[in-house]
Amino acid sequence: MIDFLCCDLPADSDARVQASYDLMCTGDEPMLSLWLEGTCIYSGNCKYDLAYALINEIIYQCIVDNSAGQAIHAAAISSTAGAVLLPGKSGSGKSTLTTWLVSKGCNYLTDELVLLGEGEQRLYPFTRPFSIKSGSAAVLSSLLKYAPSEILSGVNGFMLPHRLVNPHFSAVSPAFSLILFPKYEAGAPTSLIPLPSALGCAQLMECYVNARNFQDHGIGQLADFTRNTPAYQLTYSSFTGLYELLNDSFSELFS
Amino acid sequence: MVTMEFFQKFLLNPEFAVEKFDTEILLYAMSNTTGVYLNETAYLVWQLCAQEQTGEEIIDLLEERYPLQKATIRKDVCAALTSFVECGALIDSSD
Repeated sequence: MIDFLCCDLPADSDARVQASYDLMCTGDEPMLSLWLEGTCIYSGNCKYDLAYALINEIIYQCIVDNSAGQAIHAAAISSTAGAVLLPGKSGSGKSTLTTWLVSKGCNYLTDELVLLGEGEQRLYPFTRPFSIKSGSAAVLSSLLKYAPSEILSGVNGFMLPHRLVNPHFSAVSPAFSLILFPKYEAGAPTSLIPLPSALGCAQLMECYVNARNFQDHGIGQLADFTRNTPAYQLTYSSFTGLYELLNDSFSELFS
Repeated sequence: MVTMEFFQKFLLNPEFAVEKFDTEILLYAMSNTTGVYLNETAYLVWQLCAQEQTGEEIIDLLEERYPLQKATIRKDVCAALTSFVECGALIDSSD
């Protein structure tokens, strides 16, 4: 399971241990549990739920006292043009859109978290398997081909290795080229609206998760990112016409 | 819904800071990093509030400075003040 979740995270043998978790598996019908210093974080028999709890703990530990850069709740992909950041709260449709973009040839970086490099126009992704909510499964069904043994699934969703969507993967920390704020809205026409930098910064702040680690809350750095990177609001309700819209607007995205 | 009293002065909440872009402004609360996007008119209202002008004084000043936009200035100032008060960026000095 650790390999399934973390195989694309950078290995650093010199890093200090931030926290130590125990994963337990007991009984003939295995009862699974996750512990942190005597506190049970998960107990049950669903591997997906355990993996979901564990990856959220890992993400929390990565950002809780991290002041190396601004942590943004965002998906990200890259292409020859550079990195595309897709910030959004849970339910905004960023994982669904990211899965679709990767299925169209974009390089997967993350569907959950990026670190904006301090003083540089570059992002560092937290690369994990796709985490697809049950509600999005039907929308993505035509894109996804996998055997049940290749994923971890539960009532609330499933985790899918990103190489099953696009086998070509390059672990990179690319420079920014674009910020797309995804907004899934049932029945809405597909639209792409440019955002003024200040509005882009305001929206990015809503996804900014480690501001308290910076003396000045790091807003100046966040503002610099949005000053130097074009930002758009992408509203969609299906993938119909999406390729044409994005390809016409950002010709290098799918190259 | 905030009821506006245009004859009062407002105090700027010191918890809020301003980040300037070219022609736009981001007003944000340092305590919870929530941002409010301001257009040029709203930013002008914010600056006049900082000079301890009342709502009516702000309207008079802007109507004098921009006579061609007189028809919309009262509405725009009211909208800006309301959004400032609702997000906590302005404090009613009579409180």
